[in-house]
Formats: sequence, C-alpha cells, structure tokens
Amino acid sequence: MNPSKNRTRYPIYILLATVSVIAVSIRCLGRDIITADFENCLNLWHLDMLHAGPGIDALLAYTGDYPMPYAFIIWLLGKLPIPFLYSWKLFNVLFDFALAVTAGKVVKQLKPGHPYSFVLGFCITLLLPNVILNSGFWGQCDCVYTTFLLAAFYFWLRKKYPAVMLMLGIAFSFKLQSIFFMPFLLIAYWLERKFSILQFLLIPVTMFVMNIPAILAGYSPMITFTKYIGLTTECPWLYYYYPNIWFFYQIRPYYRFGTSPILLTVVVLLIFVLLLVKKKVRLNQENALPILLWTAYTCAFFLPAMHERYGYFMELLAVIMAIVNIRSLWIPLIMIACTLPKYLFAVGIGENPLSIQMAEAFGNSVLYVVYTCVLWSQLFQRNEHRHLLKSEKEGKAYAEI
Amino acid sequence: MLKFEHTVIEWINDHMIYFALGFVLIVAVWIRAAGCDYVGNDYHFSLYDIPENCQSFLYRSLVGFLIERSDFIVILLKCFSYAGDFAVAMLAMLFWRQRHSRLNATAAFFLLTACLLSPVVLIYSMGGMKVDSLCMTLLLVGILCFRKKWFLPAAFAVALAAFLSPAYWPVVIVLSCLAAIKQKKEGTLSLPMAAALLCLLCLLVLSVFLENRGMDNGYFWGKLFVFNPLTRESYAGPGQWLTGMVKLYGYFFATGSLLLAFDHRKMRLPALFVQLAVLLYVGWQQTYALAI
Repeated sequence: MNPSKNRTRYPIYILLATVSVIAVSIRCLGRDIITADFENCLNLWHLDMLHAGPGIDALLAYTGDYPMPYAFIIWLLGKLPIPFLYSWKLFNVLFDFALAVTAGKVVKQLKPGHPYSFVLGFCITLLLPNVILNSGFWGQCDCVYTTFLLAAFYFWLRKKYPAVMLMLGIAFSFKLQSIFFMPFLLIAYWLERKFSILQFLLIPVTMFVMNIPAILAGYSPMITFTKYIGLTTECPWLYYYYPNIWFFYQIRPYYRFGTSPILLTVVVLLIFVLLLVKKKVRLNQENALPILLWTAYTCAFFLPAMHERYGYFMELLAVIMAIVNIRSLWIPLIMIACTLPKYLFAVGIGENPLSIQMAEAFGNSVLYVVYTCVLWSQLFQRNEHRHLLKSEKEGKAYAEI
Repeated sequence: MLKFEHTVIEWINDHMIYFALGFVLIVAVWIRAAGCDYVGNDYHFSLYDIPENCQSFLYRSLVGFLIERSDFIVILLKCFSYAGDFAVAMLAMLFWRQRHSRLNATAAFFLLTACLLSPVVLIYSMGGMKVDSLCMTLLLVGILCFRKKWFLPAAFAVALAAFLSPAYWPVVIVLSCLAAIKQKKEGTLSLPMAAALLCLLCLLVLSVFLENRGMDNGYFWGKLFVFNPLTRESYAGPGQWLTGMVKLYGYFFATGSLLLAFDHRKMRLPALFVQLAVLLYVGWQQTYALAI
C-alpha cells in the first residue's frame, strides 16, 4: 500500500473517530429527556405491544399512527434488556450515523476531487443541531426515512435506478413525507428518460416486503397502504407548526380549504416542469441537488398540515449543498434557524410564542421566494451563464447560487 | 426505457401547455368553488351586520337590495368577485394580444395562472368578499376604451369602478391626469376627451357627496384618511395609515404590478415582492386581528 496514502488517511480516521465520539457524547446528554411525543405516543405503543404477549402477534395490539415497519422495530426494541427510552434513542442515533455516512457519500459524489469530501459530509451532518436534537433529545425518527431518501439520491447520481426505487420504497415504508422526493424523481424520469415507468413498481413491492412482519402477525397485506389513508386526514389544520405560508392563514377552516394548498403545490411544480421542458434544461450532477431541494421545499412550503420536523430532509440537502459550494451557506443557516426554536421548545428548552413563530414563518417565506428566484434565474437564463453550471471545474457549478 | 414511453412523453411534451392550461382552469374553478359560501369577516364587519362600514354607497345599496331578495347572498357576492377575477384574466389576455399581435398558448397559460391563481387574488376573492376584482375589471375596460378613443365610455367605466369602491378614486384621478398630460403633449387632446374628463369630475363630486355622509347627516372629507368610517375616527399615525392603505390598495398594487410585469421584465421581481408583502401583511392581520 502507498505509504503517502496511509499518511493522508490516518488524520481522516482520527477526525472521524473524534467527531463520532463527540456526537455520541452530545446525544448522551439528552438520553433521559422524555418529550410529550415519547410519553403520549411511542411509550404507550410499546407498552401496548409488551402487554399483548411475547409473540409477533403482539403487533396486532399496536394502536399507533406510525407505519407498521416502525411498529415492528418498536416491538423488537422492547425485547432488549434496557429501558425502551434508551433503546429507541439508540436506534435513532445509529441511524444518525447511517445518515452521516450517506451524506458523506453524496458529498463525495458531488465533489469527487476533494480529499475531505466524505469527512466534511459525515462530520457536519452528525453535528447539525437539528439532527442532534431530533434523535438524541426529542426521540424522533426522521433520520430513518431521510437516510433512505438520501441513499436514493446517491444511487440516482450513480445512475443505479433500481436501487433508487428500492431505497425510496424503504423510505416510503417508514414515512409518508418521503413523497417529497417524488417530484424530483418524476422530473428525472421525464427529462432524462433513462429508466422505465415500470421500475416505479419496485416502490410498492418494497413497501410490501417491509410490511411482511405485520402481515405475518395477522394484518391484511393492504396494511401497507391503508395505514397512510388515515394519516392524510389525521391533522386537519392548514398550519401544523412548520413555518410555511399557512402560518399566516391558520384560522381558515381546513375542511373547506384543505384541498386548495395541494392543488396550488401541483400548479407550482407544473409551472417548473413546463419551464424545464420549454428551456430544454437537462438534469445533471450540478443542478440535481438544487432542484431536489427546491421541489421538496415547495412541497413543505405549500402543503397543509406540515409538522415542524418535516423540514428535516430539506435542511440536510441545503447543508450538503453548502458543503459542495460554500456560497450557498445562507440557505441552510436561515432554514435551520427558522425551525430550531421549535426543536428547542419540543425538548423543553425555551418557549415558542406567536411572535417567534411569526418571525420563523416570515423568514422561511422570504427564504423560499429568494431561493426560487435565484434557482429559476440560474436554470432558465438564456445566456452562457447556464453553461457555467456544466463547467468541469470543481465547485464552479454552484457559483451563482 | 420502452419505446412506447418515449413516444408518449414526446406527445405530452408537444401538448403539455394545453394540458397545463386546462389544469389551471380546473384548479381555479375548484378552489373558488371550495370557498363559494365561506363567510369572511368583511361580510360581517362591513356588509351585513354593519353596512355603514362599507365604503361604497352603490355597493352597499346593491348588497342591501340582494339581501332582501335572495337566500344565497353569500354565493352571489362571491360570484361577483369570481366574475371579476375571470374578467381581469380575459382582459389581460386581450391586452397581450393587442400588444404582441397574437396570443400563444404559453402566454395564455402564464397570464391565466397569474391572474386566477395569484395568492393575493385568491385571498381577496375567495377568503373575503372584496369587490376589488370588479373594480380592476372596470379600470381595464376603461383603459381599453381609451385606447380605442371611446372617451365617454372610458370615463363611465372608471367612474363605476370608483363608485363600487371609493378607494379607487385616487387611482382614477391619477390615470386620468396621466392620460390628459400625454394627450396634451402629443397635441391630441380633443373635445370628446375634454368632455369625458369633465364628466368624470362631475361624477367624482357626486361620489364625494354620496360617500361622505356621516351618521348625523354631516359630511366628513377624506374618507381615505379615516380609520373608521362609522365613527370618523382618524388614523392614529403614519404607521397605522400606511397599513390601512395596504389593506385598501393591496389587491390593486399586487395585480397591477403583476400585469405590468408581463410586458416589463424589470417589473417581475418587484411584482413578486409586492405579492409577498401583501400576502404576508394580510396574513399577519389574519393571525392577530381577524381583518378579513
């Protein structure tokens, strides 16, 4: 083995190990925090299944609204000889590391010439405040589906399309908001034409496979999809704490205006696709990440009943974009700043009064509009600036964003 | 990818604009249908419970007439707003066609989307019962008539807009002055136009007398400078006056700048930010003061 390569790798390994230890130590500080979500939901679901017996048919006693793969994991974690609070958080922290590895691989794919690409992606992801708070303190599991969404994007960059569908299927099995990835995938399918529509069938097949434990427990095979039907009507509010435009119109009745935001979201995405087709823009390694971020951001910004945690995937994408091009650092900074107060409030730190919520919504709204203007001007300009996005020089691809 | 998929995608790409047009129209109608009997606060605060708060003698009389004779007053009033929205969209397309000699599907799509699905337009017509869209329609009709040198119909059209909402009188006056100055500079200020301007002035005087009548039959001037037309309470300060003006002219500036942006590239960003500002302002009022 090349000794000079070894000398380069040792500092990287040491850095990775150090950051990992720091990340775990910080998360340990929150191991005993019991949030309302854990106390009123996760723990109750765990106890319901625990008291239903030792066999897998205990899954039938599950009363939660999370999809069945989560129920299976809760059931499995309940069998460990440690308190469920610790096992649940440990599971999520492990997925933080998986998320960090995936983020590192994405950064390395987008910035191949840089020796520290993977390290930057890994370390920064692990140390992000929203990532730390989400798993170690709040006890939420957004890292799980985000890992698989990021993996899907990674495989898309590698042009391994069956793997993309597989990862997306697994992500969908865990959370319905994996749908934020779909606009990008549909755009990729439409513009690139590198894979068949039949490959989309891998998604429901994967979801079905992920639900096999529930089916073995006695559920109908349709549980794979019926679980989501209830979720779409569970939160009948336009605004549900994600700082989007609906904060300003939260008093409007959902039963009357709930469909309008969904239609408006589709219209906005339709305009974008129309412009992409008209201007003959092609997806490539340089513009894929900004487009994925924008489409996911549009969904979270316009759709109703968005929880405050639903920005998790976009925040991570924005961070990766900033790692690839430091000039876009303002995007993740503002994005995370707009949701961080809610994370802190959820874990019992500080308050989240209406004035702060308004500031969050205002900041996020302005950020969305500005990012839309910047991205659209970059993609749809008619002059040679568009060719800068295809430049082979490292980092220049995002020079204008 | 299958060859069949290629063929289908190519076909859809060639006709995508038509699909998009149809979709936008369906969405525009669907969204409005969802709010067709939604009763916003302005119905209670300025039309039904406290009609004197409505700043228009004509509109107030019309609503009073309809309330006595119709069980579907809310839907009727909403239909006025919706008709205004579609009329503004049609007129915007007409203006485009006049300026560019033809209206292609792409232009029609973007014009329709902007005029029918602009968030400010939806808030004003669907969330409330504002008559701004009708006023805007009449203003655009007036401009159209003026371009065809039909001066008297133009004067009546813009005057009708101002009678429906007296807040539009300053707009009408400014537009008339600009038109008169332009015609004078070009040396084409004709007798019919002068007659139309005089007619407009008479209608303005009539409107002032009709609208500025207080509860004790006294008169108070400058309705635009009064916070509460019922009690004649003035604005507390420049800040409150400014927010009052945003409430009165939000639709006009948002839609007007949007229409200008189609012809002037430099207006696009300002138009977008005007929309955002009005949207956030109205929303802020929603959250704190239940304004609409």
